[in-house]
Amino acid sequence: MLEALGYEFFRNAILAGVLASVACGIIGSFVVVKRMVSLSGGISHASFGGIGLGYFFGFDPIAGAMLFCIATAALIARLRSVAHQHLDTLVGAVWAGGMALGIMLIYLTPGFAPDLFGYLFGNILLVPSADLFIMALFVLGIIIVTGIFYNYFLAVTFDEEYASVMNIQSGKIMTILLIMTAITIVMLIQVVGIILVIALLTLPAAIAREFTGNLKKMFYLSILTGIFFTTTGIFLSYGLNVPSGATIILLSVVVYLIVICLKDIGQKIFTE
Amino acid sequence: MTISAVDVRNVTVYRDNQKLLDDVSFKIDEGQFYAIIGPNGGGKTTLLKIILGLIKPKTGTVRIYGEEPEKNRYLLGYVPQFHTFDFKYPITVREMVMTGRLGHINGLRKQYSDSDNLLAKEAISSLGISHLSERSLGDLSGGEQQRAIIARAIIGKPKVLLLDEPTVYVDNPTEEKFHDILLELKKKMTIVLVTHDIGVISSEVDIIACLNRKLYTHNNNQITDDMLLNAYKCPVDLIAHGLPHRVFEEHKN
Repeated sequence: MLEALGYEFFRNAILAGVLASVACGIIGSFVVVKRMVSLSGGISHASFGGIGLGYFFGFDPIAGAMLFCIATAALIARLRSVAHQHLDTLVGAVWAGGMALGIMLIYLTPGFAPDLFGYLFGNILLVPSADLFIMALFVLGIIIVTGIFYNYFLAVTFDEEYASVMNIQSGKIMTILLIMTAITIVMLIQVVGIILVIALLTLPAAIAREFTGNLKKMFYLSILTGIFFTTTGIFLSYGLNVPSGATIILLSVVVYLIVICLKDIGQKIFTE
Repeated sequence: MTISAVDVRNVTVYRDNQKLLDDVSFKIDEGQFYAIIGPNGGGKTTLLKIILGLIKPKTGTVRIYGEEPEKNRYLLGYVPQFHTFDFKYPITVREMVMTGRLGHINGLRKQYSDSDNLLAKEAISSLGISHLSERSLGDLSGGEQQRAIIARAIIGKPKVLLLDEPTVYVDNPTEEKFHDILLELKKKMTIVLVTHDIGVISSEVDIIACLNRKLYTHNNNQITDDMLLNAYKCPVDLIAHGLPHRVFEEHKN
């Protein structure tokens, strides 16, 4: 199976998996500890609206998804503080609204209907080299911003109100965090697709959380877990000739279930 | 005339057209132990948030040592209600206590200095939980978590400490210890404590007020029938010290 590494597309796939894992190791940890899983689901599905915009106006659909997701994240952050709506309700609105916009625009775009399957389920084996470079830039950006504002992010995700008492502008910090979440989501769309994004964003972090009580260690552990899932998943899907995104996600879910079951059994033995 | 530590004047707060606080006025002098009791939903937490500047009153003014809350917030320590945040968050006691320094740190990155580390050690040990400082907050008992949260509030060396329902953290047996902590803190700072639990009020309290949208106080440490009647809209049994308040149909002394 290792002969696959001779192909550029395969090496690109592995590299895309590593980059995506770094982003979702950091951002996914925040998503898990701040309980923003459904919010992230909403943003990822809303991205379909951006893909539709790309097709309709004739620019790169992934760039459209990126802009649309960032705008959605900023909008949610704003509405969260001013509209006094339940976050759940807002998420429902952008989730369905974004998808509906995408379907409508793609329907209205003249010519052949594009292959939407690729966006819904992703194909990591088709990530071009140019996209890898852009991904690397975004990942670097996420690492730098998290490095600079780590103390802010920790304070705000742990206790938003107390952070405000500490004169931190919690709303702005949350907006930055949500925008980074949006960027990560769009990167993951290329890897596993819109529908499966949420699993790769949350499962490595959730597994890491079982083994550490420290946010920084959680970053590192979930990055490693993510790299393991994407790399193993790519090899498996190549060897078995099955879809890569689904393979990565099924692998993640199975490992997650094994981990929580083993932990549960371990605790029972420990307490007895 | 000395400046009051906390000066709240004619404050009215609405949420969704519902009046949460109605023309509330009171002053707290430096060094006082000020207790506010009242039923749940009576506006106690709202009042603390007004003092902290987290909520803006519709009318009225709030001054902390003569300035707006935003400006003098660094003089306040805050112990929020239990379960206002996630105890399963992956954070150690020391890391959590350190976040109480963020309001005092300038610079873009808000990096902790050696003196911040020292202050954290000091605050944690003053509450007798030094042995827990590297433990995860979620692994602690309710009483230990309460101490950790108080450590976060006092690491900034506040002049005024605001406590919101502090006894909800713990079961009754540890309440005695909590009183000792309060007495220690009282020597160093002004204390404002809000609670629905009359049993918390001890003789060390300087001023007691009752709050149920309106604030009733005689500016002394007596709870009188008329204050309770106004706040609770029903006669309250004062004999039930140490227990959550009991309400009887009729109570005449």
